[in-house]
Amino acid sequence: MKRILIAEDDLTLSKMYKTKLENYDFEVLQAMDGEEALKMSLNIHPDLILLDIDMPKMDGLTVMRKLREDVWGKEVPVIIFTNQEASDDRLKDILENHPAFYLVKSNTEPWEIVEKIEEVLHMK
Amino acid sequence: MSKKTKIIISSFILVMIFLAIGLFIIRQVYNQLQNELVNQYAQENLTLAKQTALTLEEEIRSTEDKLRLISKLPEIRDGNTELCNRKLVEIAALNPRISNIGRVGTDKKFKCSLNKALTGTDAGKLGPYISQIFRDPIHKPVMSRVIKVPAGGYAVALHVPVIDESGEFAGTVGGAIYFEEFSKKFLKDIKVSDQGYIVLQDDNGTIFYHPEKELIGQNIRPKTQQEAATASAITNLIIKSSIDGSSGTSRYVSTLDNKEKVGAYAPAEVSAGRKWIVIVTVPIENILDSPLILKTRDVFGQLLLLVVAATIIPLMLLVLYLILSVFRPIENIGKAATEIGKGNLEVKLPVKSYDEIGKLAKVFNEMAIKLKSSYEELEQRVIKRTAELGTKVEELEKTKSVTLNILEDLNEEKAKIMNEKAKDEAILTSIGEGMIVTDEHGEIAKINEQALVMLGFKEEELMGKWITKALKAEKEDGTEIPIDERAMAEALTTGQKVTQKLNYFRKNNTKFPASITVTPIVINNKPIGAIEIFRDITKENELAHLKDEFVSIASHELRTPMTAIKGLISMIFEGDYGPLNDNLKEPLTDVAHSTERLINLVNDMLNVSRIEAGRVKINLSNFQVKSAIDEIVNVLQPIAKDKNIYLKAENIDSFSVQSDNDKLRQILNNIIGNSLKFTDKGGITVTEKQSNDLLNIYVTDTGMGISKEDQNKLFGKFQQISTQQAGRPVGTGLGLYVSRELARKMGGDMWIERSEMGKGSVFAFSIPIAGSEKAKKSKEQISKEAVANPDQK
Repeated sequence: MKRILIAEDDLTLSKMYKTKLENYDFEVLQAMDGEEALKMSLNIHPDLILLDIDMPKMDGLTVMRKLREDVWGKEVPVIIFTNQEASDDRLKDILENHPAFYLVKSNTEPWEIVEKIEEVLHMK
Repeated sequence: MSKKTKIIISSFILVMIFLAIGLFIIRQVYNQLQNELVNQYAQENLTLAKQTALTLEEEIRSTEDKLRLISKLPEIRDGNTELCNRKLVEIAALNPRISNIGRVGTDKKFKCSLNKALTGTDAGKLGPYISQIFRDPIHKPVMSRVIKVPAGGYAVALHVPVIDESGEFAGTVGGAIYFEEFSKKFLKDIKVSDQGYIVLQDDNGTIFYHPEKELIGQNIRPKTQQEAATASAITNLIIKSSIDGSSGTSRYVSTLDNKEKVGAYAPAEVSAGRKWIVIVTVPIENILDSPLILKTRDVFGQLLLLVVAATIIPLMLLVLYLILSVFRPIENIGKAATEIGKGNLEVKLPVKSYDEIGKLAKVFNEMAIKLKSSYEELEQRVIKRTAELGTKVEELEKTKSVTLNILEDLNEEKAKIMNEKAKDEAILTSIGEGMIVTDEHGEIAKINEQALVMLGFKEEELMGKWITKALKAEKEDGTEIPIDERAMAEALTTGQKVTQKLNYFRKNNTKFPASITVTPIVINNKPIGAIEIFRDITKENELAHLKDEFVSIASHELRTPMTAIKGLISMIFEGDYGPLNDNLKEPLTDVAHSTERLINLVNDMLNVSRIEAGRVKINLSNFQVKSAIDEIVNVLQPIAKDKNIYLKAENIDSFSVQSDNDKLRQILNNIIGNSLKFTDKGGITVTEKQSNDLLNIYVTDTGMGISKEDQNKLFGKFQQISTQQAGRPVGTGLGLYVSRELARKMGGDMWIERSEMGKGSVFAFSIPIAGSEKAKKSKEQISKEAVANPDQK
């Protein structure tokens, strides 16, 4: 069973994605802020991280950068999952330097996320 | 100066010169005559002096000869005193002019003497001259100086040698010559003309003959150098004469009586080397008083009178002429002018000559005539005018009442206009916006209070100034605005209304953002001025910024719950939460739709706020437009299929365009999506066409069409087509606005090509072709804006 870490500060959304993913036989871990997300990632080593950008304590982009500095974290697939547009400079910078996937939250149905995760993990 | 005047003056001068020359010549001739006369006298006197001298010499010589004869008489020669004395008496009776005859022996003692008292006495006592004859080897006769005789008068003594029978010198025989007797004898016969007189001097300078007795015996020769310097001219000549025997004449001033005299002198070598000087003198005044001179003077006087008369008479005539021909006429003109001045215009001057004065008089007369005629004319005119005025006044009186009525009306009109104007002014002052009116050159002609308050200027500081110079401005982003891009300049050159946002600078150099609208005043297709309306949009900008912030934050905050609702509903439908009760399916579908609308609305609002804040990030790249069109057509194809209409792209060539791929898709998605919404039959066709630097993309539908009214509003914010039909998918009303803004940002535009109600519409937008001029410009503009807005999110 693949382990997915959801880094999302909105509890409703987090719960929603958890439900959806568990229905598709994923083990789901939840982090409610950036620091927690980084900590859990480095301790638990999930198979994929669904990473929000706007989070308390540490934003998703910092989490991403720190992950990529770690030996394990360098390799782990990350789907940046946000309402920020890809044209945003910060996001663009991260995506260019640290290969990751990207989805726009408001345009993405829960099933589309499952599809994307399966796609990414399959590719791996 | 007239010719005549010149002649008069030159003749006058000539006459004066002649007079002067005449007088000069007369004087010269007269003087010469005088001199001539004096010289004549001098010469006469000289002759007389010489004759007198000769006579003197003759007399002395004859006396000497007599003494020689006497010396040869034996009684005298032998010197027997008795015999000798007897003989002397005999001799004396025969020779009355020789007095005191005596015989001196070789011992210098008188052997005998007529003056018996002298016999036996030393002859040397008589004078040193006697000794000469004894010392002289040839024993020449000797003569004494002129000496004063104790008995009175003057005399000289003369001695001749006595030679004895053996031829030996045996003494002398001599006697005295008394001058009185002497001069009586021969001087009395000599007549010197014109009261002239004869003076005799001896070689010592002693005067021994002179008509004035007191002077006899005087010696007038200078004794010192000083006296010699002041001595009369003749004195020195006489001294010279007594030395060298010269004779001559001299005109001199006598030191004795200070009279001018003319004198002649001649020496008389009387005896024994002695020289007497004969002087003949005549006072000049005596000569000039002579009848000849007096007569000459008379002649000259008449001559002078003649000359003066000959000069003065023409002069008098000249003056008379001047008075008659010049002064009188001028005086007459003066009088006449005074008369005219008093108002007498009848004055006429006699024209007597044709010279300048005559001309003057003539001109004066003409002037007087003209003056008179014009005065009369004037009078007549005045009379005529007065009459005319009378009628005019009547007319005026008539019209006056009429005019007064009109004036009343006019006053009412004026009051109305004033009211209107006051209203206009009130409007101009009260409107919150600044207003500046310029002429066709952009020079400020009017400016309202609000504008002055906003700009911080006083009216007089701006009136008549060129607006683009007087009011400093910059673009919103702080960059410079070239003067010809200022709204005023554009409006005046194009004749079009121009709207602009910029920063205006106040007088104190602070700035404020302003929105300005310049409306040209166009008459006969020519702008004659413009009106600029502007307002301070600081508050608006702040509000816009706040709104932007609000929208942005709200959008983000809205999105999360939206996403949750949307996700949850879809999961419910998908059975993630167990089987779905059929009763709930319909309301949940409605929730899903509403949520979708909400999400679209929020997304569009976010886009609008980004666009308006200038925060839309455009990532330009060159790509094939075909791929983007194909992709969107494919994505939307299912919707067309659902509605049973067609959606196709036709004749799309592989044009490379410069655009933001995402934004281009967004635009395509928006306008094709709109067409899909409003098309129920037929379908949608996407075509393209190059137009210079741009590629136009057309979306043609066979839908319901848009009314003209709606076409104008369609690109506004939140504009919806008025004829909304029930059940029609509802848009946010922001889509076209956002699409057009994006198209413009990327260097293109968007418009409705055509639309007809019930037949369909053609929407079009353009994008620059890669590498074209337009593309380059667009790229520059975007990178400039990116620098100006670095805080894009």
